Amino acid sequence: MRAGQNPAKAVKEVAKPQRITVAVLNYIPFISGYYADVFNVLKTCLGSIWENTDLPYDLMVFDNGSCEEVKDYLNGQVKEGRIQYLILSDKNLGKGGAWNVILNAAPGEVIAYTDNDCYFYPGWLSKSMQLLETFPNVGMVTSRPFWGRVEHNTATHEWAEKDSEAHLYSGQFLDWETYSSFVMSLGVPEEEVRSWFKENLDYRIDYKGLTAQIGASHYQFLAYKKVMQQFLPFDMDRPMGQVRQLDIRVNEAGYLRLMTVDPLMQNMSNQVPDEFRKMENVRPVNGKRSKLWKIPLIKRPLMKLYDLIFRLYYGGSFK
Amino acid sequence: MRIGDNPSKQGIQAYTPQELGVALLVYIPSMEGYFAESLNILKVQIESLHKNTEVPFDLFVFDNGSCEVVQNELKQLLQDKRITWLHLSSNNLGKTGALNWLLSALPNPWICYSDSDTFFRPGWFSKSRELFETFPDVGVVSCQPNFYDNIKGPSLAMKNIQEKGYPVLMKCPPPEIVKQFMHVLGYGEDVLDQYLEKKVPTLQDKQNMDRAYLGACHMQFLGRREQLQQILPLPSNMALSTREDLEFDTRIDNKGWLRLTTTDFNVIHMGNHLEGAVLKELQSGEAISDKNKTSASVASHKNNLAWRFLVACNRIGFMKKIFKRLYVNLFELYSLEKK
Repeated sequence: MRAGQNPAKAVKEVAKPQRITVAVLNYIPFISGYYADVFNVLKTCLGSIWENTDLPYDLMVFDNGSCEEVKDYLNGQVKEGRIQYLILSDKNLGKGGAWNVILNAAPGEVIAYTDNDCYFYPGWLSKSMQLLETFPNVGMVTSRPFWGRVEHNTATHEWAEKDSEAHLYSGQFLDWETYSSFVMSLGVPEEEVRSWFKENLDYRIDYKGLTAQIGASHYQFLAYKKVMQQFLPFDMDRPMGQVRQLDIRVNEAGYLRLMTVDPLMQNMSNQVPDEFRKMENVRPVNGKRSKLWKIPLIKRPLMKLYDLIFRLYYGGSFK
Repeated sequence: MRIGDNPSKQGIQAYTPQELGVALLVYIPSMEGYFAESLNILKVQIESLHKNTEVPFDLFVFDNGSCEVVQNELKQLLQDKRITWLHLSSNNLGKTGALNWLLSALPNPWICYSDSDTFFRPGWFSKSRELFETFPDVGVVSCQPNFYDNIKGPSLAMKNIQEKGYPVLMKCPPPEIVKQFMHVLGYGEDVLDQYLEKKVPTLQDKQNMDRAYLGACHMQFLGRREQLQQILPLPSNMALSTREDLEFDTRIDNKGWLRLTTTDFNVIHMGNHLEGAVLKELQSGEAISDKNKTSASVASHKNNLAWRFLVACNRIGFMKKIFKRLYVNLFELYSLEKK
């Protein structure tokens, strides 16, 4: 039975989610072999979000069945207030299954999705948001330019050719460093990358004072939640390898797929590059109230008082 | 850079969610006061679900900013595979905020929502499903009779179902049901007669058998995911609010969907305190372990000096007001993280 009054009923307002939810999908089943350094990759990824995100946001992490050590770390970040929403899954739902949860559940109007091996540079969110909010009918914005499949971008090309305010042009705009740093991080040998680079053709659009490169990736993107929900659910029976469905569906629905022209994020894959190893100086997402109240000497008697008042008013049935 | 091949890309099967997903909303900000017994009650609830649910299910626990002891216990339950998905939040999103989240996120075709103080009896799922199969246009079904419908007067769904040839009669429920209802809500014997005479809209099947009462409750309900998602997002500004609950009811009804309850108690509301007949039933059944039987004992407090001082102060009017304010302020200080 209910004894007394639930104090939650006296609370007038609850926390409101931020407009943007940064969502990270994580899976580290063990810390050895392929995953030996991935725990550090995750920490570096989260550290770069905490350090370099320049707009208000909530951080959501979906853990798709990682080992205990990783779960403990993530749980610790919730306690520190650095992660606002943490979902721990006992089973691996695959990337599609995790997307079905994340893209439905993220409380923000805008979702900034990323795999757990992405490093974000300062200003990545605000510059990506500019494209999302300025271009019309945007499906996905990825925070760096790189090579992508032309057949996934036909809707963007069609729009740019028809819209009088949009200026579409092509050329080789990416320098070797920007191009190769991403492609080689995927494990492609340098020789192969060099041959791709020679033949690379970038397509760009100028629109209302901004420039975007055509293309996007399911690996990291910003999107409006209401747009993403049109493409759910994803029926993916394997943990990975079927994720291009998102790129295809967004293009087929006629939405634009855009990238920033500056590299605002970098793929780390399963090893932290030396340049990102110093990520200790991270700050919490939200400021917390004074820690004075948490000193045990102060907290304990106050909690005792709280307990006594509860019993004084509502403890009649407690014998 | 990437070294080696990701083993996840080698065609391993991903987990396919069960047909039924049970979503529990947990908020136990402290282990004192109102919430002193809440963790034990939650453990009894989870055990009852595993013991008394007839089909395999996924359990999604949404923790809405509980204290560390509770979050650690939930993590342990996840590790023990008693929970499939655990959501930990550093903020309290309120009940409706969490409901928006849960009804959006659960991947299962059938979703059972429950507060964290419900005991599930054997057969609860099949008895709820039966009502979906017996009547057309069912939105949600609660597993215990509800004598008060939030929507006053004839609802849209009620008119629709009558037009389809299903009788709705105003009837007094059987006395044993009324007594159980009063007990779980903590009502005294003094109002028993009043409740025995209370007539409740009762839905009959085409053989004129009483099958359900109209008006589901918010503490526990079963529904289809595809339907529930159509009423989202619900307004969510308060931690707990009857106004926001009413919006849930109204949106279901506006769709022309029925909100029903079973005619008997297939779940029991345990509240924040176990006692009397409910405790006896739980202790006599096999649904809870010896460990929880012991911990589900009645809380007690000492009649010490501090207590006597408080009682004396409480006799003074303004002190009483101060105490009440302190109660809420201390709750907010230690239980709620505000941005």
